[in-house]
Amino acid sequence: MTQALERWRPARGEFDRAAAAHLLGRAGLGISRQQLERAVVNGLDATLDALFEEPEHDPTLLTSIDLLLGTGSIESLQAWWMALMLGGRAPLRERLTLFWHDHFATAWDKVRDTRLMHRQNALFRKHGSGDFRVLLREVARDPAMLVWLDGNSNRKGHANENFAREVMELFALGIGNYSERDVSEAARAFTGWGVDGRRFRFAAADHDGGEKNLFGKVGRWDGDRALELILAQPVCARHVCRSLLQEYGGSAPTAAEVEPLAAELVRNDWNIAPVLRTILSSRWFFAPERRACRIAGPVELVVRVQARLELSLAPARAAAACESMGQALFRPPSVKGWDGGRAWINAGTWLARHEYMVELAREAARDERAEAMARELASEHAVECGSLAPVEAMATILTSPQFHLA
Amino acid sequence: MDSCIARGPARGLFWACVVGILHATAPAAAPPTTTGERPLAALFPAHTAVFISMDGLADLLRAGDAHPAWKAFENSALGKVARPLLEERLDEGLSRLREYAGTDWRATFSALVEHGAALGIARSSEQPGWAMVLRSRDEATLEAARLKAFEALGKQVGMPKLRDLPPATVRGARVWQLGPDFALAVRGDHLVAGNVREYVDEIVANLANPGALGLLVEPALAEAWAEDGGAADMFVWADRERTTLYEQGESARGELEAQERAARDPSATLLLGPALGLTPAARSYSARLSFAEEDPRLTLRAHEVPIDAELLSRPAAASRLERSPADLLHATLHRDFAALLARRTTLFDPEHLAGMAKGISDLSLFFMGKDLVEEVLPAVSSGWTLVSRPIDWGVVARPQQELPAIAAMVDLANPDRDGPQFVAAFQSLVSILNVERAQQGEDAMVLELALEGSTQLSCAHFVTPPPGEPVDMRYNLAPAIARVGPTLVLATHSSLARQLVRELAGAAGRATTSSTGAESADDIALDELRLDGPGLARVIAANTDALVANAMLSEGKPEAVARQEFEVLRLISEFVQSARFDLRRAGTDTELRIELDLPSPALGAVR
Repeated sequence: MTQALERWRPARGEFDRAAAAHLLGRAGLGISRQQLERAVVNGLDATLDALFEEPEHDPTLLTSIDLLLGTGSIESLQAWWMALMLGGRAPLRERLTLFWHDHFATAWDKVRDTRLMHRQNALFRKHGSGDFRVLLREVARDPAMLVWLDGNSNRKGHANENFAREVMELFALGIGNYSERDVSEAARAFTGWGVDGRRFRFAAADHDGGEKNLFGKVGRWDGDRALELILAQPVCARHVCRSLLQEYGGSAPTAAEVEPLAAELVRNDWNIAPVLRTILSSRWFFAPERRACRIAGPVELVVRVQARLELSLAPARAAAACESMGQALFRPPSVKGWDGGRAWINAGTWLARHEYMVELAREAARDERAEAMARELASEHAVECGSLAPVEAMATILTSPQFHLA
Repeated sequence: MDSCIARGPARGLFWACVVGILHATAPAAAPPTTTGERPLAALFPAHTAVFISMDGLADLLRAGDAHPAWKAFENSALGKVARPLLEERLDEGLSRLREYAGTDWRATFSALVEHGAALGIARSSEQPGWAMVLRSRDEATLEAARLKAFEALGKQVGMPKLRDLPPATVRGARVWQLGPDFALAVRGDHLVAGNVREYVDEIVANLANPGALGLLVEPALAEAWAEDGGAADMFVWADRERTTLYEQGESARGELEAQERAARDPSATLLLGPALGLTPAARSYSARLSFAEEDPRLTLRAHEVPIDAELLSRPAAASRLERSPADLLHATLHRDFAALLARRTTLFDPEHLAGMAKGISDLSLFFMGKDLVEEVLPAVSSGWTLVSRPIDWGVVARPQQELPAIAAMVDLANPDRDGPQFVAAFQSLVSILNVERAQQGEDAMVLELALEGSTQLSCAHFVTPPPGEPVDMRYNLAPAIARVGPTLVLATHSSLARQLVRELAGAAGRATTSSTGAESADDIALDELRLDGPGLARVIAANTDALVANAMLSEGKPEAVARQEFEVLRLISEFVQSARFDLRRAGTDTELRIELDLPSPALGAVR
């Protein structure tokens, strides 16, 4: 690895509570005090090993949604995913699932089928840390995505460019790395890809079998071949790595940071896990300017508070609170996903954050350890609570601007 | 024995008169208690928030496991599950009782409560307080028990001379203040204990004053208590306002207002009816539990429901449909939607009016532009019948979660003129929903005509999913509408609509019957609803897994806890043979009466 993402080898005592909290908070979503203490004792490498070898979810919880999918209730599906995240069994996997949900943003509002949304979510969970090429191919055939980006209206002679455009602009290449012609030619390649009921179907009669010129290569390309050509673009690996660095590093990376990571991704057969481990173990990742440098998204915030204060939250309420704070699971605002960053905060969402944090502070103050916990949190986040009662101190901390940074 | 509290028929007659005067509407004032005692409610101060009396406690204690009610309970499926749990929780308490009173603790305690026991809670001296009164077999029994208790307590707290602690004397009662939060008073064969001295003293004062009415000044309590001659094994009464303010005092007044606002919500009023919808705003509530061998029964009542009497001016129309053993729910309801909506500007808060106006306007679209309030609803009788039954799936795709179907039946003033317009409205609604679903890429409902005998039904259903695809919950919906004579039938599933069409056609020649029982000018049945406990238990059992999953996700409950809760709910539904809700207008009062049929001890098991 080059200088930019050089591996961090902390001296004794350097991997302290703050460093461990940064790692566990970014790699996962929430972190309990016990996890934090264990990480400090075990050190960086062992902590990373544990993160990448996390156990399966509780099977009862994982399958609890099965019987509720038939109700068509998106609230139940939101609560279920929130329950998995709050459950804390597989924080890295759920963080990646959330990342891909944002990357391949698909909204129930148009799909209107909770079974399809659930299936897509399972796809992100299954392939999220694996081969990106497999993930992209699966997403391209995913019924929820095909409904979302109008696969059924992409027919020979009347190509719908929605999927072809987004696969280049958002999913694989990034703006400026393809031409309008590439979009229209790829759209022709994807003609006939649609949905029958809840299954992918290829309608040969609707497929344009003619020659296409895609990225300067001419052939009778179909959808699968078009994806191969997209993946073969050198910029593809860079686009994926840039997204990962931005998500886990918290700020836009430079080309010098992206380039070696992209090479590593290709070297590793496009597997995400080793690349992610490189990011999370790098000096770059642990640099002071990367810590608490961005505004936590609502889901991240809620899971973090729950884990840190050891609360037992009702998943449906937590998901609803996230929605009022601007992050409704399975309902990203557009194909671009959530803007994130400063866009998380406006007058309405800040009020919603404030209200939910006060609610959680009240809940936390019932714990007999509330006073000690408040003292500890106040110290961690440099919040002055003076002689406030535990509930007021807790509310002051949870609503302080610095607490919302991650 | 205190001469002031003489017993016997003369004393009983006096209290019967008192209760009779207090509740002038009672047809005949019955003796206050079966033993002729002064009702224990007369001892509790008038500001008491909750009052519980247990006249049958001594019998229960004496009989123990052999009590017929307990036998019936423990023989039921609910009892088999609940008994070990109860015993586990009671074990510690029971062993303490045995420690104190020896192996014959039942005899000891039954003597202590021989003539009744009662508990009250009230806010006194700005703090939440409780007090209990035990009316024992006689003064000597009580004094022996008190001495024994003081001795045991003295040992426990390291005060061997507690037994000899001199009491204060208050209105002829001996009163001991044992620590800041416990006072105990003895007067004759009565024991009073509580955590707030002022509350205990008020009870002692009433005890000393044989003319004191205490809580009996509450007409609703007096009337409810006097029912069945005051014979209830357990009687509970609660004042809504005082109970709400009990914990936090005046600072909880906002909560009271919120309760009343919620009760005036238009959707609650329209769905539940004005009387039932306003039940949460009733002034007080009472419950009676009777362990009578042939007819064990729990009766709940809401008193003084603040309803506009004009809305209840017409009684429910009689139902032509007989109850069927398959009914999970059978209800005859009085819903004068036309009158309710016509008076919406005075009945509901202004904030709801815009939404209601839009709803009325939208619904008018389905009736060819006719005004819903002025033209459509007045054509519909105010007497509705609701029936719910399990769906007969036959060859139709069976959903993963099976829900029972529900149907509404109502008579039309001019069936030949108005019937077709309701059928057309149904068809328009399905068509519009189909367009809306198509716009969202969802599948449509197929609209069909079908015949049941000579009656035509309009039915709608979703297209059966392809083999291998799950059958979603929406397949419980296959709505249908039909008209049988003057009666319009609207059901959530065509299988139920067909059943009801057959039954109504069979009943068409019969005279209209009233299902609401005897009525007088002063006592009019408005709503009557019956629920079938075992039937509901089957619905819960069929959907337990989904209910558990929902509780896990919506409330965050652990699976085991959620499963146990639904199992208990299922067992309770099975234990309660049937529940009957009667809403009556008696004089100027509205009364909701809920009766639960419990397993008869005489039968020794769940019926």
